[in-house]
Amino acid sequence: MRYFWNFNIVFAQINLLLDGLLLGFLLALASLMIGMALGLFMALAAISKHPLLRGIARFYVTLLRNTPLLVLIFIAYFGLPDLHIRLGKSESFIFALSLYAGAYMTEVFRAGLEAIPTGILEAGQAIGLTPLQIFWNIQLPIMFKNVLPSLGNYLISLFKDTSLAASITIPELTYNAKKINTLTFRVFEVWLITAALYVIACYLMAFILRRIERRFAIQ
Amino acid sequence: MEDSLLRIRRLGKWFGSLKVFEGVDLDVNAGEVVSIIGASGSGKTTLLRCINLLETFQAGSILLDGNPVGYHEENSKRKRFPERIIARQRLLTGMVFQQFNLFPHMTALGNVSLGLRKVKKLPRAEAEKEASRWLERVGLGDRTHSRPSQLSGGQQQRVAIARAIAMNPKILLFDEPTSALDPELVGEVLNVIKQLAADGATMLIVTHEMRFAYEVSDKVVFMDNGKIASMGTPTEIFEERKSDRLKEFLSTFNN
Ligand SMILES: Nc1ncnc2c1ncn2[C@@H]1O[C@H](COP(=O)(O)OP(=O)(O)OP(=O)(O)O)[C@@H](O)[C@H]1O
Ligand SMILES: [Mg+2]
Repeated sequence: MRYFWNFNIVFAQINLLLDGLLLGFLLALASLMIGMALGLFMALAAISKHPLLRGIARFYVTLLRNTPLLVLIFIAYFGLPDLHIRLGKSESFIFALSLYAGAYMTEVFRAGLEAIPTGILEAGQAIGLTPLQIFWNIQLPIMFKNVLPSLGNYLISLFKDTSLAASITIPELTYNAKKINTLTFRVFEVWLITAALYVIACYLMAFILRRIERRFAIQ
Repeated sequence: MEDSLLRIRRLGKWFGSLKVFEGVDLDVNAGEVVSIIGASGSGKTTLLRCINLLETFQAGSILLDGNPVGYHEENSKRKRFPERIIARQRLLTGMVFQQFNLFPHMTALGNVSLGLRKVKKLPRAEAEKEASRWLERVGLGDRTHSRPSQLSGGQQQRVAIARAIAMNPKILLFDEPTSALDPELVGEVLNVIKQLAADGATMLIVTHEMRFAYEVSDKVVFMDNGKIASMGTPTEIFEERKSDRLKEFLSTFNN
């Protein structure tokens, strides 16, 4: 049996795919940002002296890390309207992905904060800095330097996760690929090009992030 | 004496049920250099940390410049000052740590100027000018833009000294400032401390460098067995060696 390849018919629609790719990246970036803010608060709760705060952080991380992302997406998209919370498709997806990313960020930030030797914080105390000043001027910058590689890797991972947005018909790369597939029936071509686009985008992101990391390491 | 800068009375410190020391009395007058010697685990570091309020203490009092720090009496109950006040009280003391503890993400200049900017509220330019003045004083005028990772141990410790003294504390506390250094780097740090002593700084120095303690100190304190076991002039401590425990301790050093 012979398969007649026809990539041209797919390439004619490449703009649709590239638009989807960009949307996926933006969804990942927005979720990472919100997830980082959430993760920072939860990480502080996780290392705080108050058992209640620590409990909340542990509960959040356990819950979110053990729920499949697709289920979270469905809860946000189909469930929230029942609570009279009406979000657009993209907003509800970002809501789910941020919560999911936040749990991971909590762990990353907690480890990054705990890796700072206590002596360095005591040196801050010794020159009269208040706890808040120590947090802003010492803990936060050292932590970000510690976790920068994990942040970069996780952005790439979230970007791949945005393909799940196709399940609630958000026009990102996977969804648009499916649409072209339905129109053209060029199954192999569509999905091979889609996979290639994901690979190239991830590779480029990794490349750029590594340069940024090196920049920070030298400083 | 009424005018002692640091006055410690009946100080007691426990870690849970482990007693570190009890009934410690110590006075340091303005301009004096006092060294603390003693075996490992005798509580020297813990004593400095109590003075700098990095450690809680369960009994006794510490007065700096006549005022109690760390704890005060309220309705005849002992209460720890709130953290904001403790942070302010810490400014009376400067601490130099055994492991330097420089801020790794900042240059030498950043390390020394941070406190001047954030605590003393100096504008950045002024803080940096002041900081480079102190870095010059410790012989690092040419390394102001180096990061700690680009400096030798001796240089890092000198930055740490500049960082402490830039805050203009009443008394400088040193916890074995040369113990983490390669032997060939010890001298440069001790010389800086000697220079500060000559300039009239008040200092309390925990050290295992007996010759240095002998040369630089006005008073030497020997800690042993959870208390101050002997106290005296360097001659009294190192030459007269009045107690057996002191003799035994000093005999482990070859000088
Ligand atoms: N955070 C802590 N928790 C419990 N015990 C502690 C703590 N810090 C110190 N100790 C104990 O207190 C005692 C005194 O310790 P400290 O570090 O003050 O001794 P040191 O005289 O400085 O010794 P070295 O010469 O080794 O530095 C030791 O028995 C030590 O194990
Ligand atoms: Mg010690």
